[in-house]
Amino acid sequence: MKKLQNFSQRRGLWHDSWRRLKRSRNAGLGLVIVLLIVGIAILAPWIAPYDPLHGIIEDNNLPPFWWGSSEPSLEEVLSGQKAKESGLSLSAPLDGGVQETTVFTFDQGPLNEGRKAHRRYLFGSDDVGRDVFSRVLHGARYSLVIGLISVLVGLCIGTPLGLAAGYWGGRIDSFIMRSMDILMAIPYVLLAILIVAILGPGIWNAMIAIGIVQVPQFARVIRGSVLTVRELEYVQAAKVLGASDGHIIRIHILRNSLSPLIVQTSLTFASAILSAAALGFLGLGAQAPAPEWGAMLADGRKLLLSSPWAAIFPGAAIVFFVLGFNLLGDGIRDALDVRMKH
Amino acid sequence: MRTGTYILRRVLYMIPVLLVLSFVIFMIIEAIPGDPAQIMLGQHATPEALERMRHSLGLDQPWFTRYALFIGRLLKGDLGSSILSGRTVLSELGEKAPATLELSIFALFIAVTLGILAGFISAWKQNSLFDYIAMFSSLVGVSIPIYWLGFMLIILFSLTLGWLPTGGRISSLIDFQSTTGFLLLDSLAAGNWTVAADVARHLLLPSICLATVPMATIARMTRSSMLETLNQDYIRTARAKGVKVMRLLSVHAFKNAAIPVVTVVGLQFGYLMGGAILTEMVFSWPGIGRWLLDGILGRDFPVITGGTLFVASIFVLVNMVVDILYVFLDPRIRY
Repeated sequence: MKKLQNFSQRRGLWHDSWRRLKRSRNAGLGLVIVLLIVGIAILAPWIAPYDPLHGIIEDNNLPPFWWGSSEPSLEEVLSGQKAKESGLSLSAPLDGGVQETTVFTFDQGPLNEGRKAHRRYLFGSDDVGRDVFSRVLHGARYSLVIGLISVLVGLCIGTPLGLAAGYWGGRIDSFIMRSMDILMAIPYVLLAILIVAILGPGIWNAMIAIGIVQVPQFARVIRGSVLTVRELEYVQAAKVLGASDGHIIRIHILRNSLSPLIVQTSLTFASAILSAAALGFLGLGAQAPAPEWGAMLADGRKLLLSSPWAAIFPGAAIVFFVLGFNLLGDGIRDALDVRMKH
Repeated sequence: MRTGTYILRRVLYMIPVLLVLSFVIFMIIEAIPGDPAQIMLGQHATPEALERMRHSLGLDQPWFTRYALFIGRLLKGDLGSSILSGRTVLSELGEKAPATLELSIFALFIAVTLGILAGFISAWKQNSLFDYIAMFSSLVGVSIPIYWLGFMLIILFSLTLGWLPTGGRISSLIDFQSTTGFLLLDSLAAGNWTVAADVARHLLLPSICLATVPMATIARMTRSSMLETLNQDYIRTARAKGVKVMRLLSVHAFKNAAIPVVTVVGLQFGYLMGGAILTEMVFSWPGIGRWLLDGILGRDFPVITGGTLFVASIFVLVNMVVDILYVFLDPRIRY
C-alpha cells in the first residue's frame, strides 16, 4: 500500500494508467460487471432464493412469472402448424439433435395451462422443478473458480517458458516457441477435449486442460516483452555490474513485462470461462447436477421447446461475465498503452 | 531472395512441421487411457484373444516402433479403420470433411465480408454512432458461447418464427445424390434450384453461428489497422492532392491495412475448425466435429488420430497460404 502511495505522489506509470483507466467508460463498465459477478459468487448461498440442487417436481418447466402471454405461443409451435410449414419436423436427421426434444415435449402433453406454481420463479424452473435463477447465481462460483485456477495454471507454466525463451534466446527460444506453435495448430477446444480425455472428465481436470491450452498465449506475450526489455541499456548495465540472471529476470524483466501480462490475464480469464462452459456443455467439465453454466446449457438443450428459459439465462450469464472481462481487458490495454501481438 | 524460391522454401518447411505435429498428436493420443483391443473385443474377451488382437494391432511393440509404423502407413495414405464402425478412417473422413468445409467456408465468407465492411466503416467514421455500436457488438460477439447463440437462433428463427430448419444439412424428404459431398455446389452445378434453396436454408443458421466470433475479431482488427494507416503522412498527402474518398480508403489505405487482417483471417480458420465441434453438435451437422467428438468419447483411437491430424493439417496449410499471400500483398516483404 505504502509503495502505491509513493507511486501516486510521483505520478508514475501506474498512477497515469489508473487515471486513464478511470476515464475509460468501457473499462469502468467492465469493472462494475466483474465486481458484481464476484459479489454474486461470494454471496450466492445467501442471496439465492431457493436450493440450486433440489426442486419441487410438480413445479417443473414453469416459465418466469413475468413471462407474459404475448410471448411466443408454445402451443402454436407444438401443434405443429408452423413446424409443418417450415419443414421443421422433417429437417433434422434422426440421430441426435433437436429432433429428440420434439418427441420429448410431445410426450409431456399440454404445458402450463391451469397449473398452479408453488413458488415464484424469476428465471423459470427446469424439468425437475429447480429454480433457474438460484442455479444461475450459484453458477457464478463455478465460473469464477474455474477462471482463476485455469488462468493460474496457464500463467505458472507459460511465464517461465516465455521468460526462458526470450531471455536466453537461441536454441532454447526456437525449441520452446516452435513447440508452442505446434500446440496452437490444434484448435483450442479440440486440444482441451483431448487433454480432458487423457485426464478424465470432471471440473478439476477441465481447469487443468484449459490452463494448458492457455500456455502458448502467455509464453508468447512474455517472450515478446522480454525481447524488448532485454536490450534496454539499464539491463545491459545490470549485467555488466555482475547481476545474476535470476536477479535481472526478477527485478528488471518481470516488472517491465507486467502491463502486457495484466492485459493478457484479463482477456485469458474471459476465454477460460468460455472454454470451461464449452467443456461443461459437452459433458466433459462440471458434472450433471452441479449448477455450472455450461452444464446447465447441456440440460437446457433438451428443453428448448418446452422451457427455453432454462437455456436462455445461464447463457446470458456467461455472455455478461465474459463481456465484463473483455471490456476490462480492453480498457486496461488502452490505459497501459500495451501493443499486443496476436 | 526471389519470390519463387521463397514460396518453395515455405512449402518445404511444411514437411518438418507436419512431422513434428504428427508426433505430438501421436503422443497425446498415446496418453489417452483405454485399450483398443479391449474396446474392439468387448468386456468379455478372453486374455488370449486380447493378446492376439494386441499383437495383430502392433500394440505389444514399444512406442517408437509404433510411431514409425504409424508414419509409414500415413505416407501410404492409410489411417487405419474405425474401431466402432469398422470402416476405414479415410473413407469416413472423405464423407464428413465436405460437410465441415462447406460450413466453415460459408461461415468464413460471412465473417470476412461483414467483418471487413464493419471495421472499414468504423474506421472511416471513427467515434460515430455506427462505430460505437459496431465495436460494442463485436465485443459482445467475442463473448458469446457459440452453442448458446445457436440455441437462441433456433428458438427465434426455427421454433418461434418457423422460417428455418433446426438442424441437419438437407431435408430428409429430398432425395439428392451428391458426387463431391459439397451439397450446395453440387445442387447448383446440377441446376437443381429446389435442392439448392433447401441446402442454403439449412446452411444459414449454423454458419451465422460459427461466423460470429471470427466476424467480430476481423471487424476489430480491420478497424484498428485502418485507423493506424489513416494516420500516416502519405494519406494526408493523397487527401491534399484531391484523391476521392472512396479511392483513398479502398486503394491507398486498405491495401496497406490488409496484412494484419489477412493474418487474423488465417488464424481464425483454426478457430473455425474448433468451433465446428460445438456448432455441429447444436445443429446436428454431420461433419468432422461431431464425428471426432464421438470418436473421443468412444475411445475410437484411429478416428481421434485421423480427425485431429486432419484438422491440424488444415490449420498449418492455411497459414502457409497466408504467409505466401504476404509476398503478393506487400512487395516490401522479402525473405
